[in-house]
Amino acid sequence: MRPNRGFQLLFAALVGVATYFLLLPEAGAVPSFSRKYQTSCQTCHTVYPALNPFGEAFRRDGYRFPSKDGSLDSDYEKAAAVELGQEQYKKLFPAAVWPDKILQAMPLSMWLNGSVAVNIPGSEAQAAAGNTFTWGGIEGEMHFFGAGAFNDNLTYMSQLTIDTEGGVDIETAYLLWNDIVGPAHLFNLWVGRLFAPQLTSYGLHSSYLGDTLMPGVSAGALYNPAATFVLGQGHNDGIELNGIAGHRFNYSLGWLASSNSSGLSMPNAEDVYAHVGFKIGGMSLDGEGAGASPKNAEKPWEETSIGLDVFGYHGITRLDNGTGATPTQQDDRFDALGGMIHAQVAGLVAVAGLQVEHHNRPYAGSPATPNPTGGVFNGVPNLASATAIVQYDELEYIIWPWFVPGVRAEYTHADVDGGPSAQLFRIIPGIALLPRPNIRVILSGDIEWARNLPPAGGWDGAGGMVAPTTAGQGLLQAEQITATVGVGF
Amino acid sequence: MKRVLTYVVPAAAAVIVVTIAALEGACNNVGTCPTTDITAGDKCSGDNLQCPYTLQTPSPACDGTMVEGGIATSCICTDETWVCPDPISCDTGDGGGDETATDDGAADAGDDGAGDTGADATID
Repeated sequence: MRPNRGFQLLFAALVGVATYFLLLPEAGAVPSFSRKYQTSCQTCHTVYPALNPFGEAFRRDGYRFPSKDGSLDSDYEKAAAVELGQEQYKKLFPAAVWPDKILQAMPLSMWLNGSVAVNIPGSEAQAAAGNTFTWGGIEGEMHFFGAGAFNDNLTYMSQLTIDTEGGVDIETAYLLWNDIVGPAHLFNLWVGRLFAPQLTSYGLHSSYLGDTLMPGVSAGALYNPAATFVLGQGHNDGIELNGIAGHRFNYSLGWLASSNSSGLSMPNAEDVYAHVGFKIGGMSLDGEGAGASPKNAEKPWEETSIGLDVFGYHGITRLDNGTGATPTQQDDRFDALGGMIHAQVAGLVAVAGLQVEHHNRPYAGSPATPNPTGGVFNGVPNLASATAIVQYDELEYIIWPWFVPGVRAEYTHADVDGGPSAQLFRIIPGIALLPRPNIRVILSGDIEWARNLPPAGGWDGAGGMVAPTTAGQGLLQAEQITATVGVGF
Repeated sequence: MKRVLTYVVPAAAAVIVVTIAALEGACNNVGTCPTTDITAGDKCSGDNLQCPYTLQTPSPACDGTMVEGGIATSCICTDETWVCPDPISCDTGDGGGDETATDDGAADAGDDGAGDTGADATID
């Protein structure tokens, strides 16, 4: 389709937005960990929140600097602290409370983010939005982070998010009890509202072009719009035991709260998972041992490595199956298996993942019908099972640490009881830019192909918008060009 | 070593015990729909399990006929008992059941005879 003049002008406006940020004076402010260690964001990140190999090791070590020549995390801490008890109390324990410390200044940081999109004329995106372009959404969320350490083994991470509708959400709030016993990094216990269940060895947001590295696909939502659970997306209440062995192997075992639709009670906590992974080459998983330092100090993001992760997840989600006048409970038990390969050669990064998710009872039922004498007759539940397969890939090249072009692809396959299966394929080309260490802009496109619609009636659960109307016939459509902006301080 | 014995070991043991105990009770009783037709009031298993049910009921027109094939609806397992919608009652002034998922199972089984079935007699 030939782009019209209006589209060209809007695209030029987006380029202008990016240029504006490039010309901004240096912001002069840094997030929680930057304040703690008095270091730049680039110590751990490329285009944040994507982590470089050192940043991944820092995260896996429980938000602590890897040890070098027997060093402790506190050896690198430069922010002033307030001692909570004397060092001598350790000798008096259990007759005294074990001492600790907090930072003198509240370890807060803020991140503002939002996005604006050009909805391609004639696309479903434009039909849904009712416009081609609006500045609405340029400021979507405000995040407050509080993170740090109470001692060399006990750290914390918290995140409060406020959206433009006034919603306030404690997204993350957990304690990380590291190195409980035995060799360093082997046994760690993280408790609270976890940042994310570790189903891979990489951070939740370690993607340049997607919001998350694992796709934000809700398999349940492909069958029932009331479903919200997304595998590996985090912000779950629970507990995780994890560790790194031999610098190159890692594992995690978790037990989390299960999920429920609005208006229904929460089921017993039945979500559990297990993950194992290993990495060959490059920086070691804990940033220690033989692979502790990058080969090129001038390009610390570069390495040659390959990593493999596999995981299993079992859970239950309490759904409203839509058969009643009020939320009607249908417990959907599910199991998932998946894996991911992460490979890197110098600045070229390639990721490929696959996950299969089988749901016991994800479908919505038939709606209630009026009872002539008052009230309704509940509808009929659909207790069929379903399986969804999601495959994703991402390829990018870190030309410079502030300029990373790439492409991401996501494929979702949903089987349909008594009917043909449905497929969605998304291509997301883009460029991740870092005009300043704490300001990022991501320009990305969204091209979608789909054949059939899933039982829920749309591809929202898989982040898709394309809506083929002819059964069995695929539809290819360019949906949007999006600029995602973030500022941290 | 003292720290390990007095702090870490009890904590680890507590985590293991709680985990085992909780896993024993954490599983939710989802239940399975019976292969035979449900009868209202029968025993069932499964927290709020909802299963298909065909309600044999008089026609809403109350013309003496039954709804052909019945009304496709559902029963919900409540306190281990199947709670199902009541048939439409064609008695004057007395409505049939309007079961919802939140009903506590105390619905009428049928007509309670409160309404008159014949014409009122008037005395001039």
